[in-house]
Amino acid sequence: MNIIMRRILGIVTFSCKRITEMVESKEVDKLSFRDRIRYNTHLALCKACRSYEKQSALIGKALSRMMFEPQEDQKKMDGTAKQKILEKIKES
Amino acid sequence: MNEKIEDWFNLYADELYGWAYHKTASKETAEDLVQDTFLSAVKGLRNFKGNSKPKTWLFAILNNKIIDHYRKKAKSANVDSKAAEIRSIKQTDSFFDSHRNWILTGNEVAWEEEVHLLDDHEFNKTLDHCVDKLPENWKLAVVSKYLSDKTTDQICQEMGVTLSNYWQIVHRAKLSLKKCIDHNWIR
Repeated sequence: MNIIMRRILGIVTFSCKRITEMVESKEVDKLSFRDRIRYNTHLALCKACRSYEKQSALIGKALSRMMFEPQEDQKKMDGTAKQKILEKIKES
Repeated sequence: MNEKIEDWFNLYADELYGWAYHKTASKETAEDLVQDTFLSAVKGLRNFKGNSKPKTWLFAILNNKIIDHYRKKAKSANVDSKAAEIRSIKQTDSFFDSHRNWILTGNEVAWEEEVHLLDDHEFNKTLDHCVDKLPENWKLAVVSKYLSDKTTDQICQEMGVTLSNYWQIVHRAKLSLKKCIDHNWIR
């Protein structure tokens, strides 16, 4: 899509920046019928926003998964530090 | 009672420490966070119903401690980090033209279709590096959203921002992360 088409799409629907904002928050679920059509039309016609929508979801998924991924360079905790914490657990 | 916690400590301390170290890049901080996690676990053991695995439960506690740590860092935010935020806002604005549409160069990398990315070590490393580069309070918002089971309202309250402010931050943070991956991830 060339820049003119994009500009027209931006006027008729929403700007790309606005779309990326809407993708992020839950407000898409609360759109009026008319705005929902505008939103869907924009995404249907704008490849860059379509990409962004998927990339944003992928980043979210990757971030939530990260915490259970084993670290490749697994660090071991220092023995003395371990001992100290164990004693505190016993005391408490 | 505490024997159970001691067992869990022996089983999981290294893994928890590894994660804490990975997230804070400091030996002392990571040790403190692991210690706080287990002391909280002792206190909260009665509330642990066994619906989840002990390891999952401990990680959830640790993640909350990590977020607390980020929050303290964001709170002590100085002029430098405020300036970093302003720089980042300008940067995310620069992805769009005066009509708020994408500025495209034509050689954008499409990486969104690759589901296997989630298992790609290099990709995750890049993402991690990109999260690290975010301004402190953006990092806090992202980490709270994805690493804890806190509700949006809780996060807003803890960060002292309004709901629309929070979404604005998450939005900008996501834009930054996308661009950062575009630029830094080498396949």
